[in-house]
Amino acid sequence: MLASSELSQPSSPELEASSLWRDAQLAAAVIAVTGYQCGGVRVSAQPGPVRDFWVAMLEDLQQAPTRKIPPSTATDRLLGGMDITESMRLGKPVLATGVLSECHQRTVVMPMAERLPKEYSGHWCAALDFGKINVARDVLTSTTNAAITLIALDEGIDEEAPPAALLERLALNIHLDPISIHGVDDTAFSPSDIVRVRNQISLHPANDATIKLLAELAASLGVHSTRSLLFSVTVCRAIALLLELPETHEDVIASVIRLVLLPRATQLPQQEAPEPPMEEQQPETTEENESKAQPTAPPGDTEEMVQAATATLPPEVLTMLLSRAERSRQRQNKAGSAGHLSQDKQRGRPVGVRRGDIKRGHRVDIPATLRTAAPFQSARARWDNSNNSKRGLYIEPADIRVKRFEQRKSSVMIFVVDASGSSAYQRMAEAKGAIELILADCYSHRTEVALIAFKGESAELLLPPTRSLVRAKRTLAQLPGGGGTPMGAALQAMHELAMSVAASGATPSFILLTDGAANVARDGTKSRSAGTEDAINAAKAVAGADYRGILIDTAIRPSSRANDLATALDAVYLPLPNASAESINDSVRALN
Amino acid sequence: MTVAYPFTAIVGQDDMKLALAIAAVDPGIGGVLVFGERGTGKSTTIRALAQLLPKISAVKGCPYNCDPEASQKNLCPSCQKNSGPKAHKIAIPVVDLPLGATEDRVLGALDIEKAIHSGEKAFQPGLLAAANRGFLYIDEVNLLEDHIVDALLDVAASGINVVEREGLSIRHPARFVLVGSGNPEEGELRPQLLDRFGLSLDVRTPRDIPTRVEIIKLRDAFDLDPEGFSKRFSRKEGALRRKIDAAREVVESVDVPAEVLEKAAELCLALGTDGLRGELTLIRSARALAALESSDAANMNHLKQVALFVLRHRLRRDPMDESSADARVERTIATVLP
Repeated sequence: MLASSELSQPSSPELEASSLWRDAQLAAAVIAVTGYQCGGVRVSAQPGPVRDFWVAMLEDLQQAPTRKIPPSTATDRLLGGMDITESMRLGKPVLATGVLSECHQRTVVMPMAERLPKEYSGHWCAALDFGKINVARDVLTSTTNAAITLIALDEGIDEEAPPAALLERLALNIHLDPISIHGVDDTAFSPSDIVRVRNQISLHPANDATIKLLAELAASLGVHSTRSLLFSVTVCRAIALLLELPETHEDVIASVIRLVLLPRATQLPQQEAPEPPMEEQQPETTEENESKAQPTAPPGDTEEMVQAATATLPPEVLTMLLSRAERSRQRQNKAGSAGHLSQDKQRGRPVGVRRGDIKRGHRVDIPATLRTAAPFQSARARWDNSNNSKRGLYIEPADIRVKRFEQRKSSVMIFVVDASGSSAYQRMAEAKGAIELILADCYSHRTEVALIAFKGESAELLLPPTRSLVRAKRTLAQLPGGGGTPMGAALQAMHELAMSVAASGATPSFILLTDGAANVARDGTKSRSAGTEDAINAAKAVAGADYRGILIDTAIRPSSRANDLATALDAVYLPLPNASAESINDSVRALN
Repeated sequence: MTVAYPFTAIVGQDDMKLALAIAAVDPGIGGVLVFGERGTGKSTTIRALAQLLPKISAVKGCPYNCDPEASQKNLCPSCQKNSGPKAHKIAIPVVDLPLGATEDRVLGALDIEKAIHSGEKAFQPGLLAAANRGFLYIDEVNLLEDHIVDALLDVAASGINVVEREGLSIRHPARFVLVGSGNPEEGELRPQLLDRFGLSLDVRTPRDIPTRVEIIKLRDAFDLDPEGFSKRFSRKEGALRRKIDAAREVVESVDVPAEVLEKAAELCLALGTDGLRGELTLIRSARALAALESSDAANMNHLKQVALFVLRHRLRRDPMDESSADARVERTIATVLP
């Protein structure tokens, strides 16, 4: 049993490490008690003896072995499917049990959980949510129990992390890296403690005061998910019973904060009070401010509690948690904008096989095709009345399975060239030179290019996305100049093209060559102020979509106009006089 | 069978509950899409709906749940031949389309067992057959594989599933209400699939402390004793079930006055929604809501309540407008329906 006074002592590295280990022990005990109900534990640690010790301790506490399942386990193994050999032997479809159902009521250890592909995480989440999985594969439908407890060993460095949907479903979070193997022991709890608390916990409904306190804490930390709050209540009850303290005892609450709430925090209580609300989030400020304006909890108490809870955390763990909080806040602010669907597609996704057509140029997956055809062989032989006794296998068009490849995602560079009569055109030759440099780079990256030119009252798509750089070069060389600068129309044309590029699955980026002197509004009226306003509005819309881009200022004397536009676009600003071939190429490489 | 959390015990999330009830009253509206952040109770609410649905009469033994009263052309091939079918009452099917489902299971395929044993080419109906006249629920709809989405799109639009494989040629009715849920952070939904949903809504977790405390208390009580908890809510559940059932009976006869039709058209015009579908769904939803509230006619208030659900996913993206679709729809509703 832990002495309660040990939990809140002034910190030194050894003490911090030992308090981390106490949390880890507590987490092991809580998960041994609650099991499936709390989902599992995210263990942030590199492989090593401390981590192994922790897993062994957990196995000892729950008096059951764990089972290791790699994150790369594919859908057909996770869910199961038709067992071809058994099905053929018995003459009826037989379902092979998937890994998830095999692990019903067991604890699963997933090493390298940060490598779990998103398309598999859905299956894990379903098992964690409902304790059972629905399988509808290979002519079989079934619902099987799969109440698993998941220990996700997160070895991610920096940005790498297991899928957010999975983390949401694991109640507890521990960090083992700062702990030395000499500092660990497994004396805090015994298997008999676990059995005792398991028996007690179902008799104790949650206490109102505890729920209220935890709800206030969660709100002050910006943890809005109901699931997280539910976890914190369950964990709190388990910890209180394990330590034989009241639920609202400060040590119990501090542990809940460290294990459950703080890792999910999107803000810290003290951030909210003195600082004005963040300025960046203009688009949705009205709603956001309103919800923030009514403080959900008196900040004072919760702030103190969080501070007390974090006092024993080593600085590096605290920093990491804070940066995670920062990231998840940014993600929340960005949620809903169209741009971020692309990232994980760039890493070659392992994609399986599907029904296909030989004629359409797919690559046939022969083993998969044979597997599909296998069960039907005897039946088809019977149906075959061609009297051709030498016939070998019966393969029908519906059996054909083709390999699916997700080719490295192509990218499309959209050039938007200012061909107006303003100063931009004076430097057209230089601009064209710069573009040729970029084109050469695009060629080496197999990037497609598109060209939009704008002058007079409108913008025109001169060249839709193409791989033919020769055509791009020629179109560019013939580009006529003169007239006003319809910047708003140009940006809108660019945005529309970028959206259609993104919709087709490629990643758009853009290079805008202009002096930034917008003087034609979108409706065609010639007015510097209206033109600029339109341009800035269109630029903000582009920035909202999160495309990467460069603005090359082609004015003779670079001015703040182009720079302002680049800021609004969230693009890199390069004034041409200073832009050497290298600096342009460097920036372009950053895009590619 | 484990007990699902009762629908009426769900705290808050009134929009989601209302949209689901409307979709249950009139299946022709075309289903509900619920998008929202993690931990908002999307799945819980949708799964709870299944227990609230009234019973329907179906042909006994028919794998497609054919309606014995239906006209000849709306019946499945076997019911068409079968004269004088026996009817029985069944619960409205709520079929789960799980992630990782394969095409043969969704659409149906050759019955392997019969093929091997008796050499008979028989069709084994898939999930779409089971969902006929009921609900097809897709959790994490935005993670659904592309080829499954392709298969769904056509069936959802036509109400008929056509299977041509293994020498089988089958057409069977597959009219279902599509209910989807997902987290927009995890992937986008194909616009074609988005368009198949009649109503769509964005849910958020309640942020005020008393509501959150209430949610946790109820959920905790449910986890400790699911059966007892459900019993506590059985009266409320029954009342809502009867309300939905009654609304299903009368919805066809609810009147939609000319001025409501006009305003619906005006709304769609002002927002520039594509096609007539938005307008039609708007009217049907207002009518379903009126039926739920047992009024004889739909009024402006009904229209106002459903407009956001119906229209928010039907706007064309305007790259010049930074404000969200919801803000634009709300603004337009405020001007058209003062």
